[in-house]
Amino acid sequence: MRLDQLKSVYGDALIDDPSKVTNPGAYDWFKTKDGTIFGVRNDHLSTNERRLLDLSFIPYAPKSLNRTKKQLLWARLTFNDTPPENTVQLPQSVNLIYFILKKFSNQHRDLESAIHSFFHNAYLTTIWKSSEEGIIVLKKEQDCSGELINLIMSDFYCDLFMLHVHEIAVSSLSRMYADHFSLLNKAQLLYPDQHDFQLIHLLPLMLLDAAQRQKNFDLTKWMTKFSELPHDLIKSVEIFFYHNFNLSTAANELYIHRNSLQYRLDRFYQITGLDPKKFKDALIISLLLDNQRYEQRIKDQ
Amino acid sequence: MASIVLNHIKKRYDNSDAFAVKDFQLEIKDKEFIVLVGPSGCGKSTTLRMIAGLEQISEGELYINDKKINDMAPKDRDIAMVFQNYALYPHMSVYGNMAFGLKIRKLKKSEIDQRVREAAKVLGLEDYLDRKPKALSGGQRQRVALGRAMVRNPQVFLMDEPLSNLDAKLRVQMRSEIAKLHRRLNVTTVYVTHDQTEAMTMADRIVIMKDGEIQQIGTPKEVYNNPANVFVGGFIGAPPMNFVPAIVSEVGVQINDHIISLPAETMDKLHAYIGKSLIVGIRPEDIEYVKSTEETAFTATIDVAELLGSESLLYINFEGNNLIVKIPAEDVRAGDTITLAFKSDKLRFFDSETETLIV
Ligand SMILES: Nc1ncnc2c1ncn2[C@@H]1O[C@H](COP(=O)(O)OP(=O)(O)O)[C@@H](O)[C@H]1O
Ligand SMILES: [Mg+2]
Repeated sequence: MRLDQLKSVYGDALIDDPSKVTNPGAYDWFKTKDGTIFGVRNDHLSTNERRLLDLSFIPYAPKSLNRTKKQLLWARLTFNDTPPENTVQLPQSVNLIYFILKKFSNQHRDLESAIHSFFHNAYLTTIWKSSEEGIIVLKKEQDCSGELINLIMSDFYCDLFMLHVHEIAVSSLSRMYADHFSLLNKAQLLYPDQHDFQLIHLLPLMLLDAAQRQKNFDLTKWMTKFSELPHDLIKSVEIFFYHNFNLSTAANELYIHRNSLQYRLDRFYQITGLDPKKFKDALIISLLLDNQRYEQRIKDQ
Repeated sequence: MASIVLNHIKKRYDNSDAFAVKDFQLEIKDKEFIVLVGPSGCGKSTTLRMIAGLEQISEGELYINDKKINDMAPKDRDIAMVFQNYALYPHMSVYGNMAFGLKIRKLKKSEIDQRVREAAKVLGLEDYLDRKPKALSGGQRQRVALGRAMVRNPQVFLMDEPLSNLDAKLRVQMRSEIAKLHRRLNVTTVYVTHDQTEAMTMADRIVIMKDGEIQQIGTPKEVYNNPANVFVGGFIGAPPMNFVPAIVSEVGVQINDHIISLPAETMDKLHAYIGKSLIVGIRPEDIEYVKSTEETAFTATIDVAELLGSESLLYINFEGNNLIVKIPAEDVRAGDTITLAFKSDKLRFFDSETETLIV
């Protein structure tokens, strides 16, 4: 693959100079064999495209990130799939925290030291994928990450999103990182006011991804149906779910009478054939609503 | 010294077609303790994050000390942020925790030392500087977290629901701790909470928000006594204000069969409503226990009586409306019939359509 070929595919979504953009975190950066750096807006990349790019080029972390020897080793292991020399002892499996920073002012070493002192003995290293994305590698599971987010936000005046992945075989890092980053990016779009994600909570995203790739399953038809629903029906169903199926409190929040809400839920059932009051249908509705929101947000960008 | 001006600020997130914050207009005076309060999703955090610089302002201008800072990086704004659940580095000492933020800003060691010791003194943490967070009580840990913000000597403190993850007892304790600290340091503070009690007890002025819009700005007393609309009356105060539909007549208001006559000056303001309906608002404590001879009195049967120490909450039915009454503790129980009256100077009247305060 040549850069000009890529340019014809991605158009303006491809940038060949990191200094041209104010939000480098919105791009995936790569280096060609001859050293040219380019970025593609990450919302223009499907998981598979990202994987292809990761395989064809070298994921690039901007210059301010002089990697230490240890980081270099982990970066090679992750991005280039180069096994380390056999003198180096690596654990079989690790726990990972993928993170994306926003409004970060390039204090990479200080951030590493904050992370290190937070996790202490459990900390192995931080692998920077770009100047605003990276992976914290931990020996064992740690679960006070909400606190870490608050600490980093208040010490570094930046915004931070994290995805936790437990018990990953070191040998599979290079196969998985691109998918995980792409999931975190999607999660951030879909659940914008949440900062901390566990892989399991992104199961809906993964299922939708899989469904979209099924040829014998027409998700589009459903999405069209949902997009034609009146806004107040959708909103009512969302609030009803948010209130854990409690008609009274949901009606309160909507400033409508309980019976009106009941009526709207019935209407929803009539139109879609999916009953929001039945758990199994609710599960499906919730997935479709997620997908709708996600597609809407992609479109808006 | 810092005054903050939010001039017609709006926020629309990239991925959304609705405004999360609509036309936010507020002037915060130097040294003021401002509380943004409202139900979840009303735009409190978004507003705070715009002041912090973590969120781009879509429209409008933000000034600190008359300087427009819409595009200034967060770290250059001279603010300190405290977020939900006070967090500490578990393996650093109290000293290390407080010093860390200054260390990464490359302050001189002597300067850091001086600031940490000063903050420790104010917070009563001098004897604990070498301890790790694990060896501290809950309250001490919260104070260290405050100390982390204090040592920056910021112009502005921004706090986003800092007490929401604490247990009830510690929450009350920290409330007064923060208030005390504010009196001592006099740093302009913007504090976000969904808890109206917190807002009422801590704020110089409260900003009540709903659906991204300011509903009312005022001192706790002002918003309590004269809620700008039905929403504010229901949101501020626990239990909330009672609301009853009524019809306006020449001399007063009529709630089904019960007539409340009103002073002439009130009637002047209600003139346009004669013959029409409106909403009467009355605080639970403004319904009194009276002798049955008084002309404004009415009788009601108690559905539920709750004794709360020195006060009783009575749930009654009045002319088809459920009311909550707060009276000094009395020996009454469910099923009793009692005589009550509204304190007529405390009645508030709201438009039935717009739900805004008339008088
Ligand atoms: N990053 C974001 N992207 C899109 N929408 C957001 C984002 N953050 C918050 N919102 C939405 O903006 C509205 C206000 O949210 P927020 O300011 O967090 O409210 P509060 O702090 O009062 O609970 C909500 O509808 C919320 O879903
Ligand atoms: Mg919030």
